[in-house]
Amino acid sequence: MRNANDPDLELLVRIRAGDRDAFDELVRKHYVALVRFAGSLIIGAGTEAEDVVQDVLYRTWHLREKLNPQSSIAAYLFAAARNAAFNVRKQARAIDRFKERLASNTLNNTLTGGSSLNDEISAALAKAFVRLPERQQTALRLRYKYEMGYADIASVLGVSSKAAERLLARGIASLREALGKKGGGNDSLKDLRGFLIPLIVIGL
Amino acid sequence: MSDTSSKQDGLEPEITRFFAGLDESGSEPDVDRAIYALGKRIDAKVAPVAPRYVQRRKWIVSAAGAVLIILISAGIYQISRPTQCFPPRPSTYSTMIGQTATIHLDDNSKIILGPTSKIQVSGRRVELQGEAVFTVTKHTQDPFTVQAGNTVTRVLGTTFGIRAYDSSVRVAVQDGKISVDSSRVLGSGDVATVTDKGTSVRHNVDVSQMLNWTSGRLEYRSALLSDIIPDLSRWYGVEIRLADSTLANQHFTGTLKPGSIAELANILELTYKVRVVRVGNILILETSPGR
Repeated sequence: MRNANDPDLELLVRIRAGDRDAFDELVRKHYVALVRFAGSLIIGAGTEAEDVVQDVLYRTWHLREKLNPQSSIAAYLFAAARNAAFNVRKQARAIDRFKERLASNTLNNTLTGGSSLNDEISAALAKAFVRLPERQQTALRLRYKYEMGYADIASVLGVSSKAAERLLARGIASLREALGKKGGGNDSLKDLRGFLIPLIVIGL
Repeated sequence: MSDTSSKQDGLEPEITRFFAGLDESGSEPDVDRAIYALGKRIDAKVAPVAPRYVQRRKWIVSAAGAVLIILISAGIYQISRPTQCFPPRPSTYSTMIGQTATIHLDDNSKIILGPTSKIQVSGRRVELQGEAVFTVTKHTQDPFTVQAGNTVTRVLGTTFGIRAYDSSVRVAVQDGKISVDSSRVLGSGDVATVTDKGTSVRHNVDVSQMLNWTSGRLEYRSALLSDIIPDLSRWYGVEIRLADSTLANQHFTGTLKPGSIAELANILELTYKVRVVRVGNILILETSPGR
């Protein structure tokens, strides 16, 4: 696959050999993204997300010899962080209330995130986003926030590449729908598409 | 790759911006601090995986040994915190962070072992690393001796505590009489501290407060924070770092019941008016802004 170009590959080889500097470098590279990602899956995540990620990294170091150089370490870390976050979630008493809080959490985070977005559009997108099933949210997050490739997204979610693509397609369709409604109907949606600039260039 | 997916990766700028702002609220996770904390955890001596007793079971065990082990497991129930004791050999007992263990000897003497401590017992002769409280049955012919560091304590029948985590050894007598290094005789309320430089004895000390950990309470009366920190690491498994070194001279009076690190963080925040930042098992005490 893309493994030969995976910038983490060299790190992985050194980490497997017990190189702590390489491990620190790996942590430096992915820590913030992992904490934010885990935080998105845990309500009221303050230091909890950091604890979750640190446990994941600590275990990763101990399992370093078992890390598979054929697969992406980023995918491994995100998958482990997701599982660990779910374990924290399991402890949440009422899952339904949890989901509500997760939704408002994401809304608040997005709205107070300091982005220059028009509040109305941002709110509409955030609302649509938090209504998506978790796997669609996660797939979208990984693709567009953390810039992960389809193969890695599939391996984080434990699904086939095709299934990952479908999750992304459905998620994006929902967001577009929300954007269309916000824009005042199909006409303005078409206008928007007319000015569409493909900002994200993918290598797939 | 299908047509649909290639089209969909050309996102509307609004959606692109939405994702850019996603999850960005809150403070920036501090990666340097994380690397430091992880390094600490990795470097921490991994507690030797205690050999499971079952695996090491030898079928020919002395009767005394067997009785001891049964009594130990009974003793565990008397302590407020869950404890474990994995004897690698029938006569050696050790505890991990936050653990205590009660050991009943066949002469009816009782030893309560403090956290991160190790004791080797052979009859009425024991060797201690760490902290323990002894309640020794009287036996005139056969004195009970405790070797801790370079200090040997001889006793006929009494309750006393010995603390020997580092080069200094503290012997505190609750009742009865004991002799330390065959020279000094200590009575009830006496506390001897033996260092390389010699032995000093304080009289009329409230010894029960020093031995109270056996009932699951850590009691302090205007103790320096810097003196408490080693205890906290043994009972809570936390490392405490002071962002402001003047905090070390703060006093602490109160009782702690070892429990979760989060609880400890709360207590410290309330007591010292500091901000406690927790990174895994490290608590960083910072002077709160505006005070």
